[in-house]
Amino acid sequence: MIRLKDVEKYYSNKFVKTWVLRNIDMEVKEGDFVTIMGPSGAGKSTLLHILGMLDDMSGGEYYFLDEPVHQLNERKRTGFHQQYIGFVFQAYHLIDELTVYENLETPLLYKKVKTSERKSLIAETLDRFNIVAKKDLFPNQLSGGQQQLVAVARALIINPKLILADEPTGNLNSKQGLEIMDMLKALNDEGTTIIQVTHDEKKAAYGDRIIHLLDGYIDKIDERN
Amino acid sequence: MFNNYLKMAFRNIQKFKGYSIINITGLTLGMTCCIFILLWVQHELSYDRFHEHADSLYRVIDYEKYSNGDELTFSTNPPALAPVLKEEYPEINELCRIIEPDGAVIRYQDNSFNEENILCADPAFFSMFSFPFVEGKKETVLKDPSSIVISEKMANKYFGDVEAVGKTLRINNTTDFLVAGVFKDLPSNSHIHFDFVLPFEAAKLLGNEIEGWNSYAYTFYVLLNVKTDVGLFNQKIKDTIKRYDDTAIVELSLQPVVDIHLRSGDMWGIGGDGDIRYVYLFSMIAVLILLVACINYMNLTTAYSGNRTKEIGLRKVIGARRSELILQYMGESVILAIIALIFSILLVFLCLPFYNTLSGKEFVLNFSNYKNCAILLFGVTILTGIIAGSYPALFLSSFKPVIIFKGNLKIGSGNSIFRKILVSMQFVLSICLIITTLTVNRQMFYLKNKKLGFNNEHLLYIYLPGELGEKTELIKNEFNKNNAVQNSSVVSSLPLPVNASFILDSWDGRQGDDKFLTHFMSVDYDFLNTMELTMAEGRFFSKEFPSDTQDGAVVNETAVRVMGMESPIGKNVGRGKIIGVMQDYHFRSLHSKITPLLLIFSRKQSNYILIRLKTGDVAQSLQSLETTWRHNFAEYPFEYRFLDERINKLYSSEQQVEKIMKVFTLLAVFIACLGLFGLASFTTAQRRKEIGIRKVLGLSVGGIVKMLANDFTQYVLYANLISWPVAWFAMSKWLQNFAYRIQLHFWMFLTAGVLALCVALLTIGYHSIRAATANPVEALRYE
Ligand SMILES: Nc1ncnc2c1ncn2[C@@H]1O[C@H](COP(=O)(O)OP(=O)(O)O)[C@@H](O)[C@H]1O
Ligand SMILES: [Mg+2]
Repeated sequence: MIRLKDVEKYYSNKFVKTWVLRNIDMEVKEGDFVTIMGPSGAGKSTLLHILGMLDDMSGGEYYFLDEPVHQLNERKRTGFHQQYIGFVFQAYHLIDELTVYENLETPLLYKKVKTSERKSLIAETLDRFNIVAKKDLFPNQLSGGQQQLVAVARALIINPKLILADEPTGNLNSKQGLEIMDMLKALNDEGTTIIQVTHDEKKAAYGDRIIHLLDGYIDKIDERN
Repeated sequence: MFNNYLKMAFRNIQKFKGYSIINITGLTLGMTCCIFILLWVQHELSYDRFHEHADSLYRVIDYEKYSNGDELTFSTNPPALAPVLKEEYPEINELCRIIEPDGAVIRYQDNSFNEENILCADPAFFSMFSFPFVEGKKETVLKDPSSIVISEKMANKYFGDVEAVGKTLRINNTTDFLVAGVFKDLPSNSHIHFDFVLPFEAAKLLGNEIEGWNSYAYTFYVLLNVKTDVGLFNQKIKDTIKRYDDTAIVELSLQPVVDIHLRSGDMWGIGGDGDIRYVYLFSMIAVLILLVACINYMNLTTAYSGNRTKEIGLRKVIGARRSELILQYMGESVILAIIALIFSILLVFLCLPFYNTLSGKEFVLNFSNYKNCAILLFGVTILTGIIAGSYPALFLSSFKPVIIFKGNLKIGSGNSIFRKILVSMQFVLSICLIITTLTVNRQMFYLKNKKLGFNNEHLLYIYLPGELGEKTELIKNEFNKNNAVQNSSVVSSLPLPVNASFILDSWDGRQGDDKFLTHFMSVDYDFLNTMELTMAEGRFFSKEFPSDTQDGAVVNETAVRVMGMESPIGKNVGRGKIIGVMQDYHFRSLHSKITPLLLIFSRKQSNYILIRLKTGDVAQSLQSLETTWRHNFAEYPFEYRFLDERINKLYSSEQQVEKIMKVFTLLAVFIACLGLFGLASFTTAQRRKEIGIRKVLGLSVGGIVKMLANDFTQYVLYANLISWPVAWFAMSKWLQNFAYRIQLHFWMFLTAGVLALCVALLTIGYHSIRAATANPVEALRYE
């Protein structure tokens, strides 16, 4: 599903080039559950953003479902966002001016899902995440855990093939964190590909493979099972 | 999707109240200005288009070129031209002549009034022009030579609620006319204004020649066959008068009636008070003011875009295409523009009475009548929204999605060059408008205060209708007995502007077949003293020389110069002998240079009495004049005018421009300041931390204010560089309309620049001082 070949990323500031990622080669198959670990500043988030086509890479090749992402235009990438990719971030990131219901609705609107289907999808999701009572509240009226729940729900509502999660439980208490992890695991069991970033060994254990990043290089890869 | 955008828009308006209020206020004011100007423009452009045959109606105009190179266009023709045109040119379907006599006294039973808006017209008048009737039949009304047609307003004035048709009105206390019809009051966008229409023959009764080739007093309108090629037809009729009158040099052509109001230039004749250049000028100002408002929006929206980076990034992450984001942000500005439209329509309704006094028009905002206007408004609104939203939308939608991970960036400061240009542009417009207002104002002041060569204070005139014009000795005697009167003189026409003119083609020492146009008036012995004019040479008309009344002529200095006379006294000019030369005085508007003027002694009809009041209580003097009048001429109404009013009227279109200019300049500057205010609040907020650090490091409050003000001062300075030459060019062009004009002085430009700078500094001063006096620890803690 995903193939990276010699991907690199640097920031250049006047005459100084700062490398963030170098020589990244990796492959992710459909149904994989991959964990990325590493110290702060190692480039984990940057890698995830590149995988999610949120950020450009400075060099190398990236194939997503055999399409060369490094050659695609913005329109095509947006298409992938709509169709295949769901994001969960450490800092929830909901649209503050929209209610829970509207936040869930927005990706479906962009995907041009029909009204009736949209309504049932949202109802179903609210139900599944147990947030029906909260549907008319704005994000700032919710607790952190609830916001992250909504963010996850929004990522899942388009039924993505790939979920990218950047420290999704970082701001939650352990009970809430485990709930989210269980949910991701359940999705993975149903066939969704998941790539997560975490610092927590226990949560890393949910994956079948752990990629360790250090100063922008892949330090080592732990295969489990 | 649309709902989603709409909710977003309204919630954002609520969330950023201050910024939304500034945006909406700016757009509202801009659009209000625009609507007001459009109302005026539309009114100007609508002149005479309400006639059913508007496209086939023409006026016959005349062009003369003299041997000294002077050119003249006018729109009056001799009465005998009518049958000739009709018989010789089958292209003319209908033709009518009209004349506007000076005025008449109209009486119904015991009530009489001096009326000015009188026309005499051929019967075709009402079938060519579409003036709807409320009583009577328009097809037949003017065929009966003793009929009169009046306006609804006059029907009310004379007859109250009673039916007017069938009543008798007496003109100049001598002749009766039967009211045959009543027409609706004229719309204000008609180039002809009249309340009474008399049959053509009545012109004779009111003192006009109605036959022959000599009296160029009639305005001719023709209704052309639709298929006529006007260009070719103009060639055909060009020499018509010359064929019948060997001395004539006049060339005929046709002017579309719909062009009369705006495109008559300085042609003599009815209508043509408008000027297409002012229509262009004001349309441009409308667009520019709207642009200033749009620039505000762009500036503020991009400045505040930092608040929306997270949303934009997120939307991209969850699948928004760039085009959808562009649509969303454009949509928001369109929504804002529509809100502004609603406010501005309210504002227009509220301010309309004020605007009507200002412009001297009677505008109404009535959407059922102005379908086009409504469409136009809506179009302008959408366009405003799109223009205002374009740059922010393109700018905001271009962010990469990763932007969300970088927090609310200080994007506002990133695009500062573009913003500098925008803000400077606003100042360019503001400064240009200020310079324009200053120039127009100075020029009007100059016109009002220029020495005209006579004393125009306390000088009034009374129109002498009908037989009063023959009783001038009596009238003068009665007035001279009155203590309030210093001097009085009876004249054939008013001394400013003098309208009567003829082509002078004989004088002593004439070279070849030189001829030139000279104005003339007939006056009596007291004219010189009443006007307080000065002789340059010779003497004025005097009782001691009886022959003066037969062939005496007084000319002005310009006439002497044009004729090329060395010692003019005693020389022949036309049928007279020069007895004196008076110093030039301005007998026409200051738009044109002084031209030749010839005075002869008044022997028959005099139309006006000029009265100079002694200095003193004017109201009391007027009262005593009225007593004198009532005592002697009770059957005529007492109506006087000051000559000053008449002089002011010469510049009425400029005065209107001046007033409108002032208001719109003020508004444009205000709108620009509004934007600046918002921008200043933004930049100072952005620099809170910097200001805090600098303060901790010991920079004084004054120093900080200076630092903040520096930025904006730059804008104004750049703006001056651009606006000065632009304004200089435009204003020199405008001043060329006046033969007598002010110089453009450097101080006017400097004033405008300094004024703009002061206003800008005042605007941003509030924010700067607040930022500079804030506790630095607070600022640092919050970052
Ligand atoms: N816009 C940027 N300009 C320069 N350096 C950046 C930028 N964004 C991130 N970095 C650097 O890239 C490195 C990797 O960042 P990141 O991927 O966020 O690390 P991680 O998520 O592993 O903590 C960090 O050293 C960070 O300072
Ligand atoms: Mg990170």
